[in-house]
Amino acid sequence: MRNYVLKKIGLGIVLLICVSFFVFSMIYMMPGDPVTIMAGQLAKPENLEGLRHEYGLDRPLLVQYMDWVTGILQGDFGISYKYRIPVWDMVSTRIPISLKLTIITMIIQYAIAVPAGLYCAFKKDKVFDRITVNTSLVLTALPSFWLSVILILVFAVGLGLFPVSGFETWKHYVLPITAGVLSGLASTIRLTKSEAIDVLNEKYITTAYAKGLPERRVLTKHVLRNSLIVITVNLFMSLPWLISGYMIIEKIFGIPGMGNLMLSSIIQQDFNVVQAIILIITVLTVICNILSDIVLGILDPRIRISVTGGDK
Amino acid sequence: MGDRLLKVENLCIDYKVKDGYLSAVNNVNFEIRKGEILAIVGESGCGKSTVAHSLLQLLAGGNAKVTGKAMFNDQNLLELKRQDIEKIRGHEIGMIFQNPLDSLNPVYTTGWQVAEGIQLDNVPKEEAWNRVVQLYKDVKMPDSESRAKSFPHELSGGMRQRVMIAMMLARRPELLIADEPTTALDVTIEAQILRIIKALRDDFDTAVMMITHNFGLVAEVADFVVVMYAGHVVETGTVFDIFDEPMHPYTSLLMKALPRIKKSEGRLQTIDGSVPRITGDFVGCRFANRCPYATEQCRTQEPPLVQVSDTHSYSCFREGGDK
Repeated sequence: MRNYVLKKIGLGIVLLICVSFFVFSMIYMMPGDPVTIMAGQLAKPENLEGLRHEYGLDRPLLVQYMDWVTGILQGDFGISYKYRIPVWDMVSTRIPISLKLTIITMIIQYAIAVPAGLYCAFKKDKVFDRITVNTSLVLTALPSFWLSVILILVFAVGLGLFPVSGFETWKHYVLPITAGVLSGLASTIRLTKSEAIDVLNEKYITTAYAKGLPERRVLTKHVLRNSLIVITVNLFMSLPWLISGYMIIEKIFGIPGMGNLMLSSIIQQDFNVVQAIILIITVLTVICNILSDIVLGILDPRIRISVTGGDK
Repeated sequence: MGDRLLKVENLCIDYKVKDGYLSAVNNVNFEIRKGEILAIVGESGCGKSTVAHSLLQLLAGGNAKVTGKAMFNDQNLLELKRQDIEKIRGHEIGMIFQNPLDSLNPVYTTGWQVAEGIQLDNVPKEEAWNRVVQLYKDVKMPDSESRAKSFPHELSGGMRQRVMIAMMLARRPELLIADEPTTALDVTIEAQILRIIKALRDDFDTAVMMITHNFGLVAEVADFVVVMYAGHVVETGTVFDIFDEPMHPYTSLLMKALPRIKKSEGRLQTIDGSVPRITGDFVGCRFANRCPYATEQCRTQEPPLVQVSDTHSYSCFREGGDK
């Protein structure tokens, strides 16, 4: 198991180096130039050259990349071209907000979807299954920004139960999290259901029944346990994806998370900030990848062995 | 012969399909006594496995309609409530399956899975584990202690079938249903597994209901034989009745389809065609379309049950059977 984990971490680091290079060079392939934006439209070309030199933008790409990476390793993500303050200061306050949103959303979503999906699979084509599947289908079809606006209209403006926007108290989080949970709920229920149906059809479930196990134990110890393998992987993989998925919701509810910052930075061509956020999401993705591989190895003994060749 | 353990009467199993009912099993009668090995023989799709699964209410899908009786110790297995059949499964009737490769849960160690059944009788964990190791020794598992800690994918097919047997014997059931237990295994392993099953009967007086399509295996282990075709019992008798005097054309054709090493009989005989799909309004003998002796009568009337002796009976119009 130790070798397995080390191998996964090693692969993750390699992946991170590759992706960081792509993120860095991608920004440079885009049209537009940070210096032109900083200096404004009236600046003279010779002044621009001076600025470019000052920010080191006239050096070869690889040198700039090495410089950028060394900086990041020391906690320096560069200066925001727009606001002229360190990027890290802008981003660091927003990471916890975004993480709080996504993790709470995730927990609520899975706490609802896994039991519901399992029950749907067990009572396939019965009333509960039909209602759940159809309702969740409708919810998926609704875009999250529309759902957010409706939630605001009904619960904030209409009933006055929750504030329209902001992030100061727990009440501010209720509506955005509801919007987030609802938009991801259907796919998780369906994943759980289809996975549980597959497991229910396995021969070892018949064996478990033939052994004389009570139904409840078969469902928890065998069906749920084996379905969890795929569900857990999905959970870890969707966490980083959810952060970017929250961009619009954060914008609508005026929550200063990473998504919100990313949107405005793209519009303002604040390249260093965009780069930093993409990189953070990438790092999160890689970490979640490693975590899901490790959890997968714990949950499924067959995988452990195929990767390390018999080491337990 | 011991006391009667299981008596199946008029067992019918119909599957609901789009265009009505599919008759998988029709009017099946047989009984098993204590310490007896009964073989149910027939081609694939004859309803053998369906019979076996129905006895423990393990038919999948919920679209099967089961009627008739299966009396086991004064209880009708087919009508027991969920909680009651759960108490019979594994405890009084054990069942092993065709393919040991996917009959074990891949995420738990085999020993854990065997112990899980034992612990249903409120046996403490440690004692359950000791019993698992002992059971592994009983089923001739090499290296039993460490094998109990192995995951299913670390074991060979034969070892996995041994685990299944150990699991189903753990609570000393009176009846073991073995649904083609050796089909997925090679011949040497097959012989070992059969030896274990036979020893079980000799040592603990366990009755065995063996489902197979292999007459060679029947000759080796069975006391009684039930030959099934398309959901019907076409012939029953002791193993001697069936092998010395097969009466139903299907039985004798099946036996001719056995490969033999000694005599060179040219090409191996086969039965043309396949098992028909029987729906609600079928009349006549179900074997008629493949039977070399079929007459008009066979296609319009249900063949009668002919009693040859106390133990031997068959259902066919031909007098004197396949002579």
